Amino acid sequence: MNDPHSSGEPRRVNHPGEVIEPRVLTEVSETGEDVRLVLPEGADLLNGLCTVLNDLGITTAGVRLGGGSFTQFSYYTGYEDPTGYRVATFSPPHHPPCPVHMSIAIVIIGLDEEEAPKSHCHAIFLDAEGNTLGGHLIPGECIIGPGGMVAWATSSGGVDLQAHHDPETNFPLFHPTKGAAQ
Amino acid sequence: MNDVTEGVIVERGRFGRILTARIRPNVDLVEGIEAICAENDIACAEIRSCVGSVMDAVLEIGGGGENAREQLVKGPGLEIALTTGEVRPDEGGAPCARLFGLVANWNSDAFAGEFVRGRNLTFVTLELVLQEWLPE
Repeated sequence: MNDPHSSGEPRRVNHPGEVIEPRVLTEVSETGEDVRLVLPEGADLLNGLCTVLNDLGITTAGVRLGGGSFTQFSYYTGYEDPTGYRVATFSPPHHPPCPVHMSIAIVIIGLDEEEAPKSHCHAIFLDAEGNTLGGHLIPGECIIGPGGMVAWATSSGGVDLQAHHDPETNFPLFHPTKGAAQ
Repeated sequence: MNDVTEGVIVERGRFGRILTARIRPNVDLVEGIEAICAENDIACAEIRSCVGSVMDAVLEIGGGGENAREQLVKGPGLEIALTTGEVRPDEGGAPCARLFGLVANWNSDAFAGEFVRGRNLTFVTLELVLQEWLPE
């Protein structure tokens, strides 16, 4: 990684693997579905979203949510990969003081390598001391507080995002694939 | 209550096709989303959800006009989420994206603003659900 912004040009990242073309991968669906969900107090946010959407036959979706609180909460930030296998990895989990109040969160729901539900969520939130923080929420560790939480989901129709190993970055990453049964 | 009947723009329409995409590293996210729309003959669209990371972020803040200024958020590797984004045709008819959202650095510091064209290169990935808007 070169010196930041000295030339006015944005910095570029050098991943360990060869650059793969094309740089943008897209699949198109003629139809989708919009769903409003209310997840109850006590539910895990990300696993709950995956379960509810899968029960509705939706395996890939974009989800928007905000407001509500958490009685248990943890998240990752980026972190230098000491092994050099990747340009970065996840930090140890952060555990901010609860209740945590959600400001805004965006979630992508898809499938992992074994076709089980997988989520990717980035959020901005307030901890119990009023600090505004941001990071990558951890599935199974964000428990919704009193009043529940509203989420709006847009399914991707007949397209799935499925995770598989990406040899350029050495991360398991979502890739759009056609032909999902939705 | 103020009279807001003047200056209001109302556009009726409906949503169309849904695009599900991934953008690989070192692609500007504004230009990448415009490329996705151009390749699929989409003139207008709304970002439904978008999550990923950028190397560094340059965000416009300050309310626009004379007060607008650019804020550099240094990475490497900022987590980002687009909260609002739309694509509209420019004067020549090409898709033009305006994207607003959030970034967070490795210290959990959070920032918000409009992503400045050409200055926000993807770091690991960007995952996107975008829907076509078809004005009447």
